[in-house]
Amino acid sequence: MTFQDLIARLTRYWADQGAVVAQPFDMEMGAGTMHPETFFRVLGKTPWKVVYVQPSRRPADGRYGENPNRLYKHHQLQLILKPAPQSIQDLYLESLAACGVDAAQHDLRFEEDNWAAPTLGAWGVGWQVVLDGLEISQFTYFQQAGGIELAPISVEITYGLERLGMYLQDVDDVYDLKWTDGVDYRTVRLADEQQSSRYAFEEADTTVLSRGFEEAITEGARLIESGLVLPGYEQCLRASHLFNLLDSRGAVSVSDRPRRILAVRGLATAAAHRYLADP
Amino acid sequence: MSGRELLIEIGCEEIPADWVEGLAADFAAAVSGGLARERLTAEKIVPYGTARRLVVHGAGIPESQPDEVREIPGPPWRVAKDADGGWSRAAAGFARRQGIEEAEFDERLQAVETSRGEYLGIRQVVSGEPAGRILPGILEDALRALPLPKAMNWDASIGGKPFAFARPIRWVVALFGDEVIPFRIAVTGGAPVVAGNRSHGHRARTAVDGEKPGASFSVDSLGSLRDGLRSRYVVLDDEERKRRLAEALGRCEEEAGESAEVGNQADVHKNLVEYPGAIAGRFPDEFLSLPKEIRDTVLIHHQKYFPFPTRPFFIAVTNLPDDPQGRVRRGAERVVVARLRDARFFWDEDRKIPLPETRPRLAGVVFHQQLGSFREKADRMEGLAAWIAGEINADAAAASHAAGLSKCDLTGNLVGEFASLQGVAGGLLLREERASEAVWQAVYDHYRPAGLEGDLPRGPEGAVVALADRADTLAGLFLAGEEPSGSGDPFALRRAALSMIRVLRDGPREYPEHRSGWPSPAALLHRALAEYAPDDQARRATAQKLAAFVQDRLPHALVGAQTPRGVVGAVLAIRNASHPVADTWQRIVDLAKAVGSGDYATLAEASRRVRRILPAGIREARGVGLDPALLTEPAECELYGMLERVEAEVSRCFGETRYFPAFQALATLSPAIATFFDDVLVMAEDPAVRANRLALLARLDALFSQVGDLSQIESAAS
Repeated sequence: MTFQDLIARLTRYWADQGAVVAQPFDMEMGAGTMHPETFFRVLGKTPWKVVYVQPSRRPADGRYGENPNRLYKHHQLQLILKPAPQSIQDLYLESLAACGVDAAQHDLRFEEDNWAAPTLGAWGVGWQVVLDGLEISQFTYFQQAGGIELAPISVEITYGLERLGMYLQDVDDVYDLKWTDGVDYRTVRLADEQQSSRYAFEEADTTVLSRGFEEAITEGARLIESGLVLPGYEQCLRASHLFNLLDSRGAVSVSDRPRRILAVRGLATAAAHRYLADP
Repeated sequence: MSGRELLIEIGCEEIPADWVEGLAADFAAAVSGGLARERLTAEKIVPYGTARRLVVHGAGIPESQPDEVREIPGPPWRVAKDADGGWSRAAAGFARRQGIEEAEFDERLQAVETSRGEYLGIRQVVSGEPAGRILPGILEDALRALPLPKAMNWDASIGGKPFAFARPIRWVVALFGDEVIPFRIAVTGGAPVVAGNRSHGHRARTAVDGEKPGASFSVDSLGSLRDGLRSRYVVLDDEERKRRLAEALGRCEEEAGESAEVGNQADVHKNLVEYPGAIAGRFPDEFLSLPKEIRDTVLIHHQKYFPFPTRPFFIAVTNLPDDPQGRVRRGAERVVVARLRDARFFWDEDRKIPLPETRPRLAGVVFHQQLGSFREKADRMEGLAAWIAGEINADAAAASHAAGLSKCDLTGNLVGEFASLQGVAGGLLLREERASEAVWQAVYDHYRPAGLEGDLPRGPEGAVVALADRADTLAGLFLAGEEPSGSGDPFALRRAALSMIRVLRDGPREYPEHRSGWPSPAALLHRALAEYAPDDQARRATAQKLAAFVQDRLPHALVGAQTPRGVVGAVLAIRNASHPVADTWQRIVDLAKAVGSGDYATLAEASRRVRRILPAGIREARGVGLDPALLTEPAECELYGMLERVEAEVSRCFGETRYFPAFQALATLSPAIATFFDDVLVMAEDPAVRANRLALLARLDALFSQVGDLSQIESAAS
């Protein structure tokens, strides 16, 4: 199964379960959870089902395209179901079956793994799903987002697409993944990995990044205050990504870290509260 | 066995493996307690638990609560009869209010005894409720009473009240005999979970012909639940899962030709899976050249697999009995090889530059904003380590060298990837670089012990670096105003203090060549502070705070499992952070032993009594001026004689720091003290005699005070 087939099948499966197929958010972020389709939709009472792919950037994980398992940017397929259906674990197994994983022939585990995103004021409980020793998904019942207790509870399932694809295609190097017939992951992504790693580790100007961080915090606060919740939240995303870049440059000291995390969380919490007050 | 059986199964999404056993036991205890409170005591209650179910089986539970006879008192008996012996108006009024006809008066009205005397009353039989009506409440209470390490909301409620649990509950079996117990959990936005008689087995496998995996099946007893689960790849009994796991591990060990290093992890694994199996995976021999510590970190911490001592194999526990197509094995091997390849890459990278040459890089790793980088920390530790090593006669050059290099691995790739290898990675690199054993082991071991528990460093130089590290951290962060407050201890300073105390406590015994010279916590911290700041008022204030902080941890750090109550407090009344910890510890251990074998109850009582009697001025005089000639009564002469002998013995033993015989000698005073207080009037009329007796007691008190505050000791015998 090609990489793009995998994406198509998972998306199709959840679309058939009634999920909205959303598109990747057009800004840099570290995880699909930060997409407004997750961050805001889990708040409040309105039921929601959504599935989308989110390219996720983790600057510190960049390896110049030389590591077969680790990437500056990887792809998550993100699912939110609100409220969480009672048969959710079975549905999840069916989604794997749709990709050709017969659970009866594999060792599949739900191992405790609680999730917390301090910059989003969010946490949940759940598992990492482990298939024959490989973590292929994160499965979380959200308990809090933007510092707000949630009811109803949403379930989030995040599929690590590269990992799952490598497993299904039986390849040991992510760059050998077949994206589609005749085109591999290397062709599509290698240059991006090489250049982004160099940027993050060698070239990024920490003064510029630091200034950008402060600007985003100030601008975000102003926008949220004036009721422009979504544009304000975009500044929160920007600040969060700039923080990750600064971190990968080793420019965040131990005592600087809590201050910056608090600043980002401040924006996320403010956006969440404002969203609920005035959705 | 009479009565009915109770079978409850709470079917869950996967409960964290290390909670399962505790929750199953707590659940059974809560059900058992609930039954007893409702007078439905079971003859037997047995818990079962797996990752996906908590099961309670009860036997011999009464059909209903026993009938209860209640006495309802009316007016006092003395006004119950009138002058001619008939029922009085008061009696008749009471009887009618209780719905008793006049014709029944003689039969029903009787005298009842109450705490306030004899009353007229009636006895009424209240019939018990059927158990079926009470069980839903017991079940709800038991579920709510479970102590969860972390509860989650899942939009559920019972009886209108929100109900958080470990993980969502997906089915409930609740049977009392063949009757389903009416019980339901409402779920907002979904169907309620209604108790019934249907359970579920393995999600993906079943041995039942024509049945879809994971489908429900009906149960009517513990036996049918156990059998139904077994044919659906779930083993209900804990012991059987353990046995199957052991057998599966044994087969893998046979394949690998060696015993695996399982440790205590098998117990967690048996609850991570419901039908334990195991596969032996193999990795290419080339990875055997990777240090075992690094290999094990990959296998154990990242994959929860079991390593082997020398063979290129590992064991993965599985939730399946077999792996006929070898898919599980291939998958596990692929993950392991990828991770080992990563680890080898980091190991090779880190070896390209000798560790000492990476030391300048520590300037880029912040220790604390106000305190600078790890480079400065390493510099301070060097000086501190040289001093400590000198005190205990260890190799000061090696200890100081190791301290200076101890943090270098923080800038390496290995620790960047596997944080738990800090220290270990540096030690391994130094060993590769042919550093002396004292140096590489000291770096390797210097995070030990992590707190009060765990192994000490292998050699004295490792202990020296550990002390230097902990003392430097405590001193620096206290200077920076980061002392813990309430539950907030972001720099884990409490643990650092316990680790320091532990090394100081056990070091002299652990390293017999270096028994003496170990500094007190206060002296060590004083020296550590000196590395930071000149001796000014701020530093002195910090030193006081630090001493108090360490002092507060001593009672916890110096209590053994068998230490009688009050012994630690008794010794710490005269020992503090400025005394060597090992000596204080020895006193506590020996006093505990003496309290266990001698009559300290009398001594403790005497100590309390003496203090009550003695005026402050006389107590402080410590018996100076005692005139033996004024002692007349046999009991006081006897006590005086004993006291002189025991004083000499205690003084001799203390001089040789042999505390146990001193404390034993002290206990021999008990009979003489008891007789003294029985026979002798301390507050004699003659002022000279009285003063002399008080002086005798003051001298006794002074002897006690050499041991500590004996009044705190509680008798071991009671």
